[in-house]
Amino acid sequence: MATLLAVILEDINTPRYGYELISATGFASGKVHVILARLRAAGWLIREREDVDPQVVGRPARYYYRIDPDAVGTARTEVARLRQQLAPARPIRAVPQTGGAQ
Amino acid sequence: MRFIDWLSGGTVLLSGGSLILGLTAGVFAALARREARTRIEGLPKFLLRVGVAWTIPDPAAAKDLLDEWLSELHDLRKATKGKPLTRFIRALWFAIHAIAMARRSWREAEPAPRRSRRRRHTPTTPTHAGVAIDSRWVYDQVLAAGATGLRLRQLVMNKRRYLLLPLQTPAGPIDVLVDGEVLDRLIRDPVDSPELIVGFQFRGQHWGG
Repeated sequence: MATLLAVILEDINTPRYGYELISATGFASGKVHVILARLRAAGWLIREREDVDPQVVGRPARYYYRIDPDAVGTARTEVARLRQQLAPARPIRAVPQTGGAQ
Repeated sequence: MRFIDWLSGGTVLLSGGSLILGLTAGVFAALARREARTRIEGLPKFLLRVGVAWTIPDPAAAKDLLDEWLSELHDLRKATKGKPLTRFIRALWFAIHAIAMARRSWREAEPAPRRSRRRRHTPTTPTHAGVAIDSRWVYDQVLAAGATGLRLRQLVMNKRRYLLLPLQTPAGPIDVLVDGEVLDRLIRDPVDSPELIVGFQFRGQHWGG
């Protein structure tokens, strides 16, 4: 969820569509859509159908997602917090053994 | 002489027949290949249509999801133009994975009352439709807050629960993001105390500790 949110938060003014998010995150289609649905149900994301004529543009209308302006702050905080938690722990330095057991 | 004429005539006829037969067979083979290719290329789309209709009982929701996924499938196919095998494998994977998660996507997007039973029994989840928030707890400008429909819009993220609370202000209705822990306290112990505003967020601002 944090990975997908981070992609959306990169530019909050640019709405993203599903395939774009799938390509950006590397997640499978189903996973991306479950996360999008969850965030949308929570009111964090707004989903809008592209207002185009499929005959004119030569493709079906896309469904775009953009983050709710009220949720930007909380989303950024949560993404940062999660990244901090997932950051690799500092490696434990091996203590050299001096004078092992005889 | 007549036999030779007959033989050569027969040979010509046989050759001509063979040629026509060969050409016809070639054309049929090409047509069959093209049809097989079209059918194979249409397989992901077909799977999506059948899978979504089969997994999602609500026709409106199924159509909505299908419209979105077909447009993405179109984009996927366009992105892999000129690579038919890659295109087919990716499109098939897209369709299979989307179908596998279709029901879950639909349930996640659905209002909470029809969501999984597991969540309904979670002790921290509010058990009623909403909670009356005293306007003084939140902000001076808040006029009223009634039934909030909290269960309709909630999110568990990073083990923290957030809820979207619709409130009325002089400027009009606003949504307030509420920390779930604060809300649990309000529900468990509805004391008229300004301390309870800790954790409330209002248009990007944060009140309290």
